[in-house]
Amino acid sequence: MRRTRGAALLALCALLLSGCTLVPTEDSPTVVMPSNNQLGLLSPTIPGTNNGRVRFVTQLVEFVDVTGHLTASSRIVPEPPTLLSVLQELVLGPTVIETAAGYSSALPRKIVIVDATVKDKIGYLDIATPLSTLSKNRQVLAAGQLVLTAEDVGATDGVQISVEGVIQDVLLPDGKKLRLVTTEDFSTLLNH
Amino acid sequence: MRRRSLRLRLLITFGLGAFILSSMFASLTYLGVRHVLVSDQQRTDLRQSYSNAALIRSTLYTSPPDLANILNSIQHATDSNVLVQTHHQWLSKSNGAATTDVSSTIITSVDKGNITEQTLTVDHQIIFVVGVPIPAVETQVFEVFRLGGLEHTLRVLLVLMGAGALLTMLIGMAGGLWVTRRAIRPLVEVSEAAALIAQGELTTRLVVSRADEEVQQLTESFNAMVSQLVERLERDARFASDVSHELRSPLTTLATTASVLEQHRDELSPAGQESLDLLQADLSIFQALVEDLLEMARSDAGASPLVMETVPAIELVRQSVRSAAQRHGISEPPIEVDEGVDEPWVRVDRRRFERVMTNLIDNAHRYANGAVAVRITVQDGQLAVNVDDAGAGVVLDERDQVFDRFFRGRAANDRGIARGTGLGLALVRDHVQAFSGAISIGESPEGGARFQILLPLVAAEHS
Repeated sequence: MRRTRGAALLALCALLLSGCTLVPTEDSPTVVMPSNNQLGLLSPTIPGTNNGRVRFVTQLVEFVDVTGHLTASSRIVPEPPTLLSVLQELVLGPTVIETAAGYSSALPRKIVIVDATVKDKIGYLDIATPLSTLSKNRQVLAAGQLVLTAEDVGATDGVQISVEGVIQDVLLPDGKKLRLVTTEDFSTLLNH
Repeated sequence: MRRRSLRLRLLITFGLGAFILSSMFASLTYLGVRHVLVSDQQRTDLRQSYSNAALIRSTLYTSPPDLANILNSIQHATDSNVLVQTHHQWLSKSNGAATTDVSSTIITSVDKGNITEQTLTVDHQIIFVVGVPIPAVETQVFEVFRLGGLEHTLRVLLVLMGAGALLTMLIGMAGGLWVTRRAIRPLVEVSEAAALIAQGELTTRLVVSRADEEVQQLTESFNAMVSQLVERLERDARFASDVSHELRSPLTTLATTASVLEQHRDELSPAGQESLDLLQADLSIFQALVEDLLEMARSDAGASPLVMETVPAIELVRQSVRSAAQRHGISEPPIEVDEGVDEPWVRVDRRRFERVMTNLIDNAHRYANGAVAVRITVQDGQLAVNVDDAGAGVVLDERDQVFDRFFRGRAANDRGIARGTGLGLALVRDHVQAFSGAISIGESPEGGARFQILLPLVAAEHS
């Protein structure tokens, strides 16, 4: 009887000691019950606004693939998509996975988009960094990226690029220069 | 099964008890503190996640391009990594964030519109992940908090608790040792006193000084018991002495009468002569018995004081052997002194030592046709006097018993030898012990018994 009690005490002691781990981990996630102090995060609209909410849509941006042609990649932007928000995704460049797949961007690394709007199906794009600082081949590819990306946002009749308000002639694949360029001018760059 | 000593058992009990109690206390304290610390940390992190999620919601509503900057700001401010997902694609994340920190099970749960949390280990690091769905902006925010600081705190606490438990156990053991010593001391004193009494120190008593009530009671009871025991021993000794003394006079008369009859032996019929022989033989045994009893009784009662002298051992043995041989009318056994022995001296009562040698030689004469030799040697710094015979020896299990009073061995019974008094060897042992010596039985080189007396050597004394 005494031995049984002693063994039971020792077993209890061992059990308690075995529970003395550091931070306990969980095998599966735990759902937190809704409460008042969750700042209305689960609400379908944003509190304090007039039923404000944000939706996201998928837009295409153009990058240069491993063969040197332009190819589209999808990005998520808030709805409604604007030329500025889409171009900002383009400026961020390809993702790590895309880079690993051979995608790149011909745009200057620190290009700043001052303004970007679409009016009467024409995209007006004002940038702070001139494309002319790039090599000719890269100039053509960079312009193509901007024009093809803008078309998907509604600039179907062409794009006009200015540097700090000064409208620029855009170098085309055939060596010509135009102020208003369309996607057709860069069709030879598309990866068919 | 032999039990462990009381001291050891008490020590183990105290140590184990202290260990169990301290470890239980330390474990419960640690578990309680850990629960509070972890809960608090998780609650704080959860609230932080809500605030950050609300900030992300506002940013997506007002200025989506600033999202990446906001996430990095959050990372700098709260040391947590934030990831934002929409349409099952990562919309943005702070610089230090890794999508592998967020498991698919959390994403699935958040997809269903639940705020979800999980503590898990990723790359040997404990992290706390909070997933918050924000339906108003169609996104899910995942915030990853590293719990390394909390883990460090708990590790320090665990070490401190463990050290505390160990220290408590050691203190418990030290306390147990102290209590054990205090509790055992009276028992040790009783044991030592009992051992002294068993050795013949009948005046030994326990001292009562500042003892606890229970110990005082034990001491008094022990002393009373010893006093009663001594009184009884003395009474028994007096009785034996008185009986022996009273028997001496009629025995002397009987012996004298038998002697007179012996002088007129020729006038007796053959049957009368045979009866006279029997009478004289039994009278001789009876006289020896009374003589031994009387000596033993005197010794027990302390009536025959020890007269200790420092004497040359070899000469003492020679005289004793000669005296014994003459007394019993038997041939004197040769005395062989080992070559390494050089004039040893011992301290004995000469008369009692002669009695010892007489009894041993008589014993050899009775049971083994006499001693073949008395051999003297020095063994382990003591004088060894060996009385060897060539008889049947003494069986192992009787070697201690033969020194008990009135013990008769199997060999004596088998051979029908009944002439001993049964007190001779008991007297031998008593006398040898009185000289601070020891006696034992072994085997002689001739295959018989060896009665070995060991006596402490002393420095020579020249007058």
